[in-house]
Amino acid sequence: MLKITNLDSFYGESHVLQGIDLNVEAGEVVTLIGRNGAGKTTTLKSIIGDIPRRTGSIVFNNAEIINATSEQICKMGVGLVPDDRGIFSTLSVYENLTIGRPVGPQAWPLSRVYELFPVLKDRNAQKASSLSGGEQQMLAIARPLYMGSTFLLLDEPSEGLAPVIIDAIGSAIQQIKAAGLTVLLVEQNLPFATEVADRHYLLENGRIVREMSNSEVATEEESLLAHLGV
Amino acid sequence: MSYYISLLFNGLVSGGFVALMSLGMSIIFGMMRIVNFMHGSLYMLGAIIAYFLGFYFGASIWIGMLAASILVGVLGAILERTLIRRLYGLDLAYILILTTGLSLFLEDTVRNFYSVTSSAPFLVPQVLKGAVNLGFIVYPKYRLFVVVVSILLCLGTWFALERTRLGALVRAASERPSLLKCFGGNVPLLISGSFFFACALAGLAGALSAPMRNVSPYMGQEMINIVFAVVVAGGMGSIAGSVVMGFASGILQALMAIVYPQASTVIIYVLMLVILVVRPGGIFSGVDISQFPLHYTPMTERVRAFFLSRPAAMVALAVGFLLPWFVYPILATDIILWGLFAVGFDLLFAYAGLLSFGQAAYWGTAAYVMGVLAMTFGAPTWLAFIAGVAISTTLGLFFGLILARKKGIYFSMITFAISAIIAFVVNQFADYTGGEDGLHGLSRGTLFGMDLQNDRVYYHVCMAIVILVIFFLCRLLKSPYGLSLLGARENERRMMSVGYNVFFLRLKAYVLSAFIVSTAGALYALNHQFVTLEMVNWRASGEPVMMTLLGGAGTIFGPVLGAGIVVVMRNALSSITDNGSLYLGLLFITVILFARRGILGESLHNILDRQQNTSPHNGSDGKTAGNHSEPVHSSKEAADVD
Amino acid sequence: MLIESNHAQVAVGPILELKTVTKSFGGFIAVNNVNLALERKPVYGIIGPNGAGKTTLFHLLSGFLNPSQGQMLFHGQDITHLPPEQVARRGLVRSFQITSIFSHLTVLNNIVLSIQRRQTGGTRLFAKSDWRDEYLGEANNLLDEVGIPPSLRESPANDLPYGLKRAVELGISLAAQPEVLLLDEPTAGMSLQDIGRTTELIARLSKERMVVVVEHNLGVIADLADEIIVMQQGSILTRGKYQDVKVDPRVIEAYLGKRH
Repeated sequence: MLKITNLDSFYGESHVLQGIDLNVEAGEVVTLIGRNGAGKTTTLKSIIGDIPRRTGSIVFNNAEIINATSEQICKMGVGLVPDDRGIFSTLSVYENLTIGRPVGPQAWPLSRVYELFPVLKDRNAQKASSLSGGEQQMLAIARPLYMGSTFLLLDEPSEGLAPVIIDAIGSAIQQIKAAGLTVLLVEQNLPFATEVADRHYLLENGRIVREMSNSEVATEEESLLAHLGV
Repeated sequence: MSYYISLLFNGLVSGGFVALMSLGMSIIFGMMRIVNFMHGSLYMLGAIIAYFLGFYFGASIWIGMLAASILVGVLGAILERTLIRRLYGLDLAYILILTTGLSLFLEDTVRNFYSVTSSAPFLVPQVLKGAVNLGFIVYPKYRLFVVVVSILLCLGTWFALERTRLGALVRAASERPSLLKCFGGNVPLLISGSFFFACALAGLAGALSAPMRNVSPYMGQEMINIVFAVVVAGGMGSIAGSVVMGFASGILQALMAIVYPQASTVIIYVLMLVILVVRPGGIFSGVDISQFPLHYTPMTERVRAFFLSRPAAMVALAVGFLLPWFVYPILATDIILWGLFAVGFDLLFAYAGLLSFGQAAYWGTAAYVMGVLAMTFGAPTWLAFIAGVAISTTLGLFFGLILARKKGIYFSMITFAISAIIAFVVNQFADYTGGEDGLHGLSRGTLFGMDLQNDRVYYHVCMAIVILVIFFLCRLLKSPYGLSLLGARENERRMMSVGYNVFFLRLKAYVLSAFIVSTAGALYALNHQFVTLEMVNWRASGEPVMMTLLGGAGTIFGPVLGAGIVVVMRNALSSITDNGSLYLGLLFITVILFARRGILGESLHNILDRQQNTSPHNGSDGKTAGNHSEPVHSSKEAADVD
Repeated sequence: MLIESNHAQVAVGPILELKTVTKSFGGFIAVNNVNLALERKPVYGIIGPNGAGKTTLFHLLSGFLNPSQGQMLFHGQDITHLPPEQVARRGLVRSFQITSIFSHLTVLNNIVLSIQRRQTGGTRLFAKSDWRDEYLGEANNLLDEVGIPPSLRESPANDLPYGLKRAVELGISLAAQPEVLLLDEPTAGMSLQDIGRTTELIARLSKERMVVVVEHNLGVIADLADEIIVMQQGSILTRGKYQDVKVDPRVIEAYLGKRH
């Protein structure tokens, strides 16, 4: 579904991604793991087109999107859940949820979104900034579903959340996967990552150094944790 | 009773214009974090367009309003797309200068083609002529129409912004533009669209005002000052705040017109001052701009070291001594004194990171105190001079106690209000200050047997004083205090966290700047041997800003160079063309767009910095890198409460 | 060290004491009724999930925020409502989680600013042109310690890579020679090597002063901290030795997760 070859990305003068190769098949959940600053977020931003300077090739659903704008990429079915959850704080929950127009038959009707996250229905008139961290995360995940994205980019959905909430988010991701969506996930929380994902890429200094299976991550957890510094 | 009600209605009428204008300013600020100083000129253009259509084509107010809003809106959107957009994310000062330049340009262009100064009652259609009896009051229909239209437009805009999907998109775009793109939002279109709408409101307000106000190329100037004050007092970027304050300002002015008519224009500045001191964020909470970072490009330490070095001083001295051989001594004196004024301004701007719009308060106060002492009380010139500078500097200390706690645009606005209040006071005591006529016939007197009436001698005396001041300033900037001041500009919080009292650091800089500006002002008055209201006018506060940016902020001699260029150009242009401000406007626009460090700064930067800049690297963490092509909303960066 | 010996005589009872300190923003309670007495210990570590109130606690202690309620004592003296510079002058100095340095000044001047404040106040208007020299020796020693190579010391601080900016951040706080050092995630975003060196540096520093450090990196905390304070939702969940805290079921629930 997504195939990245030799991707280089730059912030101003600094060369953040240096030849990333990765692919994600339809229906998979794949994680990117790596230290702060390894380039995980930058990879997601490159896919959604939020990095001005990027070279190489990103093929999504057989279309080359390396030169496409964020608007175009989003309309092709890529949905972003940013690391800070990306809530528009001056908008209500409902306005946040419907900020992207539904595109195509994949779009979830509101009723289905509310079924996955009932809390969003109860609070739809509230200002989004008044939601708790976990609720904001749910809102952030719900937005691309409403828009009809078929491929989700999730940036550390478990960050800063209480374990109970992390469990809820994890099961939501599994339901999303069961619904046929594809997910590329950035995670530092290894137990969480192995619970929801099929396989993993390890990033280091803007390069992919290893592809790992769930069992490899589980057996090497100690050394990985030391490496990640968490 | 009905007299008071009709006064109240008159307040609502003028408040309506202000509200429509402030609403537009507020939308633009909320969306792009820029202060659109050409908003007043757009208002003027709207009025001119309506006048023109009515006068030549017999158009009614309906056509006039429609045409004015569309044409002015389109013009605004075009300027945003082509020019203003280039400066997003930079310091407020740059956009301010750019839009001021554009406004000079627009006003002068209009004046060239179309110089009228009368109202356009012929625009009013039959339906709106005459008066209507409301039961408790008989009131002109057209005025009532203005009130209704402005209230409806304000309510409609509020509704559209707060209650519709389009409004949600606009709010989302102003909050996090690049994120909205990831949800398919067309951010550039939303920005241009909002700009169009805001400018269209200004055009429409202009057209509405044409039948009842004097239409002239300069009608936007007073308007923009009031609107600026209203927007700040209402809470920058708060839609409700600007509308409520807009109407309130009209009513307040109408009330003042009964109680104390002379003060009806200054009351709004007093109100703003009080509001900002008591409630620093404005009445309504708008955008939190107290943590606005300094985006303007400071000189690197290498460049600064160059300007503080001996060779630079020698060159400047040589130029100084040769100057009176190339231009009339009076003009040469003007140049170095405006230069000193600009240097005083730049001490605050480049070194303390504070943009003052009101340094003319000291430039004028010193001159007036000296003038009054010499003319009315017959004090000898030298004594009057010293007293003028001393009293003016003391005034600076007094205001500094309020100002040194403020930063960013709040600092700028309070300085602006202070200078407006000073101008008002000067005008109020016309018995002493001569009011509109000013004080004429000041004598320079003699100094140590030198006849200062000789222009060339006077030039050299001024030159000596300027050299002395700049010498001490250079010493100061190289001192521990100079470094601390830079530290406070760079990062106030960090300074506090290691034990610096940033308030006192700033206060000292402010008083010092007031002293330098006072000295320059008093000398300037002696140069021309008269003092006029021009010296306390807000335009006089604008001059050093432009001169400094033109020559190069933070380069010591740059402001003087800038002063030279402005003064000489004005002088030369006035003899060959009427369009002095048009060309000056163009010059500012060019400098701001293409040579942001100013003339001296840019050339030195090219020589010193480019060649030595070897290792450009930044944090490689994607999460912290900013994208500066978008409006940068810094309040988020500052909020690291976990 | 001068400061050190002065305070050593006064040190009776806790150095830093918080009594029912609460901070709310609107309806949100960031720090909730915190009672805490810190005796002289080499290093305290504060851990907790994001949003637990750790940074807010630092803002309160350093005077950048005023508590909504409660009292804070430093050597028994009330510092609750002191402005930040007064808190700093008494010897309580913090570093920032989001790197907060003087970007356009040279690295050396970043440090000199902090040293001159401590030594002469940094407000002299006129001085001999070589006034900076008297601070340079100390500044260079400090930069050696935090690991900034001499070749970079005259560059604008903004030109340094991220890890070294963190080192400058630490250096500015150290140059103030505080009695109590509050470090807000000093190793965030550093490379493994830098983390190792910074941990050693903090350990060395803690011999002369009290250090309170907020960290997410449990490895660093385990190495450094003599006592761990766990925060959750604005309150103190528990405090104790790392080995004890690590197995506390509440801490596992709130922060560490099951597999730790």
